[in-house]
Amino acid sequence: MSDTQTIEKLVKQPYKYGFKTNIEYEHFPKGLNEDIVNLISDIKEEPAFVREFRLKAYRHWAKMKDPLWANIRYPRINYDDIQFYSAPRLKPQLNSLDEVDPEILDTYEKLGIPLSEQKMLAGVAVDAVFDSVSVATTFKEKLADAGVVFCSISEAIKKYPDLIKEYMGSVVPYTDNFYAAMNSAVFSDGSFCYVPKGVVSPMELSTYFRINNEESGQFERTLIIAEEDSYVSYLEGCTAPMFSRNQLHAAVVELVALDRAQIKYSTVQNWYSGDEKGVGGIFNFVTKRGLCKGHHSKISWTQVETGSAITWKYPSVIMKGDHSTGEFYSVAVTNDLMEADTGTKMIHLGKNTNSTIISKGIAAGKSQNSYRGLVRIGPKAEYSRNYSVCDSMLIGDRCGAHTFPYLEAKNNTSSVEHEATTSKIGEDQIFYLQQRGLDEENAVSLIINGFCKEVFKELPMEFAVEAVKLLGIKLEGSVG
Amino acid sequence: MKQRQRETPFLDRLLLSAGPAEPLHQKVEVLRQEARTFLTGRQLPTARDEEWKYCGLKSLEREDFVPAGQIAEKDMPLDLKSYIYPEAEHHHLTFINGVFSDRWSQTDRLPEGVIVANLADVLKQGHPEAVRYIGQYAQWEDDPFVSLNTAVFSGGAFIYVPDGVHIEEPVQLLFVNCGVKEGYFMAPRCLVIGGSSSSMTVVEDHIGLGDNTYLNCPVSEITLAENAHMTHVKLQRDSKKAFHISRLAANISRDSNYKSYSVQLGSLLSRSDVKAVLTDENTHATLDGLVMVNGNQLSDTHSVMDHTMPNCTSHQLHKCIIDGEGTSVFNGKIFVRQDAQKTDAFQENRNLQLSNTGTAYTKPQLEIFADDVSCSHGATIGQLNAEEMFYLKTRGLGAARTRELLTYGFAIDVIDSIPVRSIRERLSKEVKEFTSKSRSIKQYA
Repeated sequence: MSDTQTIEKLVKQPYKYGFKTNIEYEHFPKGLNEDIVNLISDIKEEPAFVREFRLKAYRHWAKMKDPLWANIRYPRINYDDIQFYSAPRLKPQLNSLDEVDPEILDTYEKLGIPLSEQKMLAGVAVDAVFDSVSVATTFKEKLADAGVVFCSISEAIKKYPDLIKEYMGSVVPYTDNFYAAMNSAVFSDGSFCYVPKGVVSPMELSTYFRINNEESGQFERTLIIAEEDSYVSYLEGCTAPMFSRNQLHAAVVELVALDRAQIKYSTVQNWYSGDEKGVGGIFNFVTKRGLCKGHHSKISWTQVETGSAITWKYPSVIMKGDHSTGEFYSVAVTNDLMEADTGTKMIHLGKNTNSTIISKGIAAGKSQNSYRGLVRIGPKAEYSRNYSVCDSMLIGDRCGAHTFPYLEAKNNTSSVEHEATTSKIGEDQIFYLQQRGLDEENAVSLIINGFCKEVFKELPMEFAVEAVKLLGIKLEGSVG
Repeated sequence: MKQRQRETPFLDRLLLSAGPAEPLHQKVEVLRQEARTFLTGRQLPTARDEEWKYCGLKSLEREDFVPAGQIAEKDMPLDLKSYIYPEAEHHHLTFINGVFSDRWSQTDRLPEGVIVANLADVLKQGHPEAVRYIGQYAQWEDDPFVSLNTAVFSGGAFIYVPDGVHIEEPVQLLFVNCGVKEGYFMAPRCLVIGGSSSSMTVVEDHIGLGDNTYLNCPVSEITLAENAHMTHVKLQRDSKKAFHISRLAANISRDSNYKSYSVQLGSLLSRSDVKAVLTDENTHATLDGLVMVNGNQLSDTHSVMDHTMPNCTSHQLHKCIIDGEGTSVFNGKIFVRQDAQKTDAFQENRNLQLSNTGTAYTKPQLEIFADDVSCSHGATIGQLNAEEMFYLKTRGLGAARTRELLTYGFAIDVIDSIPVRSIRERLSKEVKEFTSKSRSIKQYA
């Protein structure tokens, strides 16, 4: 079989998470205006300060324009045609898994993340966000014993208003960018995690996001606070059913690490990417930022981006505390007509700060894959270091790989190093592996896994396995 | 004057003071008209424009310039001999304050058919090649400075080397600026045409003798036919208060080889845009650069290496040394188009920060649309290597001398591969002068 045929056969793997769950929804008018923002606040019975935050963000958003600078092309979004809130119709309060709508649980089962099973086997605490509302949080009690608070952000607003007041919007202010402002106005739910002083979270925390409703957008907001000397590892996974319409996902994630605290945030994003003609798919516009507030703190982002029609995402770290560390490990895979413009920002403010960027881009089909990164070393960030590597791999001659690194240094004791390469899978590599008895498919899969290894090894075990599988499905044999 | 400044945009003011340019050729008139239409009412780019993100033009905008031709003391009794390279003794063109100087130019002993002349004269005579290529390659989207040059240029260099002709010795283009009090602007236009299987070396020298403010806005267009070889050295040491905004576009055909070395030392603000388009197979381009900034200088280099066809190679080494409150900016783009399979492109940018108050911005950029290529770039911002310093100290060198030597070594890397000895020597002298003056190095003495 010729290479091209192999490519075509293997690239045409169906999207296996493309089912829709039939659940009744609390329906909601389309469009965005002050009434909608108030209505969301009413439904969620929020305190005045949150309502005020939303309204301020809305008023700011109304004055803003869509950002068009990224290397992505998509039809203009009609914000009046989007339902900014959508929740499965449920019993109001959930205390245990039994109360969750069995159909939703079924959906998660299909996704391969049975909450009940994971509870026992994996020991992972899961907060599942369905469309916009958090449906279940497992393992709450065990976490509570350790002192870790892990709940939906709506719940946190009611139970821990002081923490929310102090930290929400402190890393990503509502004025930050267009989508962050929109999210601040309409965020529906998301996860909240608070790790107190000296606590090492006894298990990996995890959230699964799913968009189920055709006309709705998902606007979740995640806030993680790690107090002094604490440690938490957080996982995030995303899927959506197949619709021929584009759906909008605009999330905000804020991380705060105090003195000597460490936060590890991992994402496997597999939103529906549209069909091969580019119809449908998720527009993924996400603002993720971590603040190393205390000295010797560390924030690490790991992401495997395999889905979404459009990805616009730059998980960043602001290293404010002295001796703090920022890390970014990313694998971004694009196929068919997908477009990804992703990367990171490493802002060095404190002395002796360190950052590492490892980015691997794989472009196949007719897709465009861009790395966009900023490393900024401020005048006071003496003795700081950055090391960046971004490698791209092109599969076929119809796709594009782009690298836009911005490096800025304002003192003479720091060093910034950046390198980037672009290559393809060598015929000799495939030949060698075939000679050792692997078929072409497995040879390619092995080479691609080797290419991404530096990033995969940063993922927690279960995620690494999933990521490898996902990559296989997305790209198997699309090289020759 | 102040009132007028606020009301009229900078570019309009320049056009107004330039008045209608001397007619050169019908085609040039059409280009000039287009350029004037484009410029009318246009504002200078600001930090909001991605291409000008780190290069503010506020200080330029405040200035008022008269055209270089209107300066009274244009033919000052200078002795320019010392600025002519010995190898270029018989073929050099000199422009004083932007105006062609017959007295200081010499074009004898050239092989048959070679033309080295003032572009204005050549265009007036209607030289078919000059008319054909003028304005063809210097095209930057939304860039006012190429249009400004097109609208007002009244001279510059024209170099034509026919098929199969080799010029062994370098041709020098000398742009001298004397310390005239009145601010003026000059827009020299250069056109270089290399016939098939020809070869040449061109040295472009921009010198500021005084400490005056002026705007130097040169545009160069180079086209090389099949199997042509060209080495192009540009040395910019304009006055420390000058503005130097240059554009260079090279169009390279099959089997040809273009090597460009650009050294930026002078000007308060220098901005250099270089574009090399590899239009056919098996071509090679080199765009090397050395930038040294001190005081409150800002030097911004934007380069585009455009691979459009298969089997081409390109190499780029760009080094910056930042001292004082200086700022260096580098944006190097490498494009590899869909057809450009088997491209081998390499780009390296190194920034050496000597002072704690300097700023380095760099953005190496790869845009690749072909899969069977080998492209890489590397960029670093850092200091002198501690181990190397230690080694030299163990050999008995002092702290300042150690730094001076290593800084010199860092810079010389770019210069060393220039084929003409006297150019290499002059450039290394310039580097030595820079390192010996550096306060950041002296403080260790």
